[in-house]
This record gives sequence, structure tokens and C-alpha cells, in this order.
Amino acid sequence: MGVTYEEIGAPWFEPPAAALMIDEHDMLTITGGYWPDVGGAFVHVEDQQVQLLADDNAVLLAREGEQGQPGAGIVLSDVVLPYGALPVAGGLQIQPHVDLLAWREADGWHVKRLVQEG
Amino acid sequence: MTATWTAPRTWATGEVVTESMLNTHVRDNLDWLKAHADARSAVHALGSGEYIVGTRHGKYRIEIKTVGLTSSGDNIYTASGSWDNAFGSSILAVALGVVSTYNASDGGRNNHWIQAMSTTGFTAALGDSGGGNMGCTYYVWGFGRDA
Repeated sequence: MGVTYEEIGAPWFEPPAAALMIDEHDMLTITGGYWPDVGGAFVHVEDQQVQLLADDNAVLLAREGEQGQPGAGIVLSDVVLPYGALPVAGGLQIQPHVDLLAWREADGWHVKRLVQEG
Repeated sequence: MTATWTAPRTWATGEVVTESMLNTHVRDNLDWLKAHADARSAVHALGSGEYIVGTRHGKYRIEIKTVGLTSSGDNIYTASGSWDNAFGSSILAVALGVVSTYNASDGGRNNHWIQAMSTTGFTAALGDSGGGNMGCTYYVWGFGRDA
């Protein structure tokens, strides 16, 4: 069970991107930085470490973290919760979760990694 | 005169070069090369309503990704994917195409939908209530803006 990093090019990315890494002990380490939101906005993610448990299958970024809580902004879930924007009649409905940062599949964790290009 | 291409001659030591050989291998081949170089400048930008798939620059863009998903019994399953290049501003729409195995026990009661989408990726979902197991390939088109 390995970890697959799915590189996403971002030529327009000015600030340093947040970087996620999951080691062989399922320890999630986040190097602080920015993550893209809808509408050209960015969400700041703090440095943090989170131990992933057996029933954690998705790592999401909340648009507004719980102040004073360790791991604020990072949400662990056993299922993939709606994130980003959902198409609804007449437009898009913005979800409280900005994005899916990592998820577990049969072959292990898949982690999004922003790579500055261009 | 329409230039034609002739495989360039390999000249031999002491060979007498004739007018015809020079016209064929030098003049005509240079004419042919110039005509093709000039033709390239006639390639223009995309017209209104045309979009390039997978390009990184420009206001509007389409990304296409494929993800697989298998089910084992009745439940809701998800498959997530990442765009090759993040959308700089907004994800505006996602279209879903499904190629799925089919058996009689799964017939008629299964649903596929886009559960979530963001500037960096998407999640497709399968609601399997047919009783059997399914193997699906999702083709996902993302349409968004970079500026």
C-alpha cells in the first residue's frame, strides 16, 4: 500500500502552495502554504501533523477552520464529503469544504500535490 | 510553378553538376521549404466558441480525466481524480460519461453522478442498488476559467 502523489500544474500560482506528505505510518504532514479556492481565492493552511487512522479515507480542507483547535482547517472523514462547488439550478453552490486534498483507494493513499509551472 | 520536393542528391567527388540538377535539388527544394514555412504562419488562434483541451493558459479551458471504480454489493462508492492543471479561478461545470459493465442483477437501479468538483479535481459517485457488482470507468470533463 503506497502513496501516490498526483501532481497538478499551477502556472498562475504566486504564493507557496501547501504541501502534503503521508509516510509509511500514515502520518500526514502538512507544510503550510496556500491552496486554491473557487473564484481565484486562496485558503491558507498551517503547518501541522495528523495521524491518520484506519477509518480515515478522505482528507478535506475546510474553508473556515475551528479556531484554537489543532489541525484547524483539515477535516478527516471516512467518506468523501461534498467539496468545492456543486452545480445547482441557476449556478454553483459553494461548499464549506474547499477541496479534497487526499483520499484512500485500494492501492493506498492518493495525495494532491500542486506543482508550480510556467 | 508549384515546388515539389526531391530527396536531396548525395554529390560525388568530381561529379559535373548540371543546370537541371541544381534547379531540382537546390532551387525546387528551397522553394518547397519556403512554401511550407510560409504556410505555418497561416495557423491562427482558435475561433469564437472553440477551446483547446488540456492547455494551461487562456481564460477558458477544458480538462479531461479518467478514473475507475468497482462496487461490491449495494452501497454508494466514490472515485476521485485530479486535473492535470488546476483551474486558476473557477470550475464552472463538469460532465460525466460512464462506461460500465452490466449484468441482469444490476439492471435499472444504479446511478452515477458528480458528487463534488473543485479547481484541482473532482469526485464521481456510484449508487449501486442493483444487487450485483459493477466495474465502471468514468470520463470526466471539467470546464473552468483561469482568469
